[in-house]
Amino acid sequence: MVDLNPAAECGERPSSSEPPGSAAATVTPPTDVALAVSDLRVAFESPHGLVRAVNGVSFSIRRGETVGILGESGSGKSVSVSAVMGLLDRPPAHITGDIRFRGVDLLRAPARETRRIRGNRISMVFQDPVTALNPSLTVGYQIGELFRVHRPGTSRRYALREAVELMDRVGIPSARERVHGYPHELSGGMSQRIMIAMAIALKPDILIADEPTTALDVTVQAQIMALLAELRRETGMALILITHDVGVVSECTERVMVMYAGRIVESGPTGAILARPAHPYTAGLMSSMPRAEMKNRRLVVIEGAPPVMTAIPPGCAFHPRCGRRRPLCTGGGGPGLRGVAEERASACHFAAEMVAGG
Amino acid sequence: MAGAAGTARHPAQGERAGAVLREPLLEVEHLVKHYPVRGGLLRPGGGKVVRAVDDVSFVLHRGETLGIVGESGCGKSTLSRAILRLTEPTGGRVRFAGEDLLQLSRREMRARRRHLQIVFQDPFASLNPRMTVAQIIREPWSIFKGVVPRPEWDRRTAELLVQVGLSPDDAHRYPYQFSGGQRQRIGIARALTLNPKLVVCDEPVSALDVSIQAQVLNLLAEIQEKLGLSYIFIAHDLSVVRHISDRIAVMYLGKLVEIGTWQEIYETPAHPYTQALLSSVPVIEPEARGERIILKGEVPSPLAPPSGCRFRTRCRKAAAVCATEEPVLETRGAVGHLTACHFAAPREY
Ligand SMILES: Nc1ncnc2c1ncn2[C@@H]1O[C@H](COP(=O)(O)OP(=O)(O)OP(=O)(O)O)[C@@H](O)[C@H]1O
Ligand SMILES: Nc1ncnc2c1ncn2[C@@H]1O[C@H](COP(=O)(O)OP(=O)(O)OP(=O)(O)O)[C@@H](O)[C@H]1O
Ligand code: SF4
Ligand SMILES: [Mg+2]
Ligand SMILES: [Mg+2]
Repeated sequence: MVDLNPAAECGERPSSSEPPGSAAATVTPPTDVALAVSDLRVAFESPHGLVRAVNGVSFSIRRGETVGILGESGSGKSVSVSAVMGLLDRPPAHITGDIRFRGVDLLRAPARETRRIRGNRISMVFQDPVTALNPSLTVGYQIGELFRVHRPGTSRRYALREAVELMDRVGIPSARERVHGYPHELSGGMSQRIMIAMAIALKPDILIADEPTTALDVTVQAQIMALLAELRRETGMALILITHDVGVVSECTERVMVMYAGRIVESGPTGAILARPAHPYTAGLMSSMPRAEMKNRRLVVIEGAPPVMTAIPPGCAFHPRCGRRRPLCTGGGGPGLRGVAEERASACHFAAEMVAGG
Repeated sequence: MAGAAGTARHPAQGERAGAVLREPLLEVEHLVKHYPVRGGLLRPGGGKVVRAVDDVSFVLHRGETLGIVGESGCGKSTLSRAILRLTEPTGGRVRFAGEDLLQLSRREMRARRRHLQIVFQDPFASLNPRMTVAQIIREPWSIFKGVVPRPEWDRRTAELLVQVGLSPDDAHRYPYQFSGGQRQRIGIARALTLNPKLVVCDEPVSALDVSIQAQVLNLLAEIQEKLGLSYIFIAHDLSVVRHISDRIAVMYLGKLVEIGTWQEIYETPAHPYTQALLSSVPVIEPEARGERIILKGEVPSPLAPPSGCRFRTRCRKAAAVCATEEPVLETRGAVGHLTACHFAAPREY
């Protein structure tokens, strides 16, 4: 009963290992872009001043691709995708910039139009499965409700059957019985899988998964990532994967964006970035991993404290913690995200040096 | 409970020879937790139960960290909640510092809580949204008077926040104003307020980025060295578990299937489930890993676990005996640590 297949986890691990130039990325036909975010900024009003959670984030996602978002805890990953999903109340949130799904302006289009997209064409798996489920409704009802809302005319019976099938698909044992259960009766990982089932129920074009597998053990995680890869192949679904697990990013994504203090500080093909980071924050992350040789030793940490989002340091936001810091880093608007190698960009003055191995 | 008679030997035997930390703090014996199932309107549960924890025994020593790993839904959280009596066990014994916790009245139990803390898996659901961080941290001090004198509260609150990588200014903010990882650190700060003897950490770092995770793991290690407390550490990230644990217990469907020192579990795992688990870890260089064992078949329902060995439906070594005889958790043949498999043996690559 054993299948020995090292690449089974996420389907074929694509383009990052292909020679540069062969990837379709350099000339992107505009129709291929499923989601385009430009200069997104989100700030929250708070008694201590404006919390500048997202400070000029731009990226685009192509059909069928898997993009990872790594980054500091509190760096604006969830807030960025919450803006895409329209989940932030305004006020207290102030949002500027541009978010387009196949040309539709999600920040400005009428609600009637965005409702057809969000939760339907773009769906999301939330970081907190327990609070995202309604404790007083059965899981089956909550999955079925998606069909009733977005596919009017769906019968109760059909919705229930779909719910059981989806629960099966995400690997919930005895789905037939558990479909009548309530969220508190599920383990953390099972609630997470229910969330995944709900997010893929309507076969979205884009699935945003915020820490989808942190609550799952590695065997179930492998199974879920394989399921998502299968959906990508079947339906051309694009996947945005927010995770702290560098191993998952490495095995499952083609591109990765690294966030710090509300900005993307590095982006590019996953393999290249993990092999040779072009930003000191990324390098710091990699050296903090609890590798076997660190057993019984203190782990390497990035010195200093994460930035306070009401008072982000001038210049490069990472400079107070950075080992490469020079006077140049500490003032002005800070280094922008600039190209540094084939398909790679970094927001560090010394990116080129880092890529060259200096 | 076929296993109960079979596992009658004292669970501490054979574990961690030569360790400095021999004094037991927590002795869990034949612990059982079953949940009754509710059916839908038209399908009542019919008296079925979820066998979430089914006859689990182990010992945790003072100053020691026991990692618990296993499939999602295998009963790790239930086990830790049953130990702390946050959910009432169905059966078994839990001795803490020599005292049987399950015999205590609710009031007596409340007094012991000072020494038994938990960091929950879900940082969102476990913090009171109407309390500021300072109020959350101080609440235990107003319940257990005298642990930290009132004039010290401000200083100690600020100190705890800095220790977990937050800022003293954060004291007056509310949980919703924090990111997932920041909330998890609030939960850790709260668990440490009373200088407990045992802290159960249920997925305490899975919401953190690796740098802050490293900071928290270092913090937990420092506090342990300073205060000599013990941890039960539940996590899915096996490199984190290896890093922090002295010993590791592997669970499958409500049972312990293997327990040993971190070297025994990571270097010479002998249970086929542990072997599959370790081979599934996502790594940066997949080429560097041995071949991955993909578990086939469905996770069996805890409502009706397979007879004999509960892992047999997905096990590559399963034979007839596995369906009829439940393997006892014991040392066998060349395997020096405890495993519950009739064919336990180091993996051949
Ligand atoms: N409603 C809110 N009001 C005020 N500040 C907020 C609010 N929501 C988030 N923030 C702040 O915005 C920043 C970004 O939060 P976000 O949740 O996006 O972080 P994240 O990158 O997803 O972190 P994690 O990895 O820990 O989940 C944080 O500093 C957080 O404290
Ligand atoms: N209150 C409850 N009522 C009924 N069943 C429950 C309840 N709590 C947990 N269960 C069931 O008990 C089993 C063990 O759950 P538990 O939460 O202990 O798993 P876990 O090992 O912590 O999983 P995870 O890694 O996903 O958090 C699961 O099958 C779960 O559905
Ligand atoms: S710009 Fe300067 S401070 Fe910022 S990461 Fe690069 S070297 Fe460090
Ligand atoms: Mg987040
Ligand atoms: Mg759990």
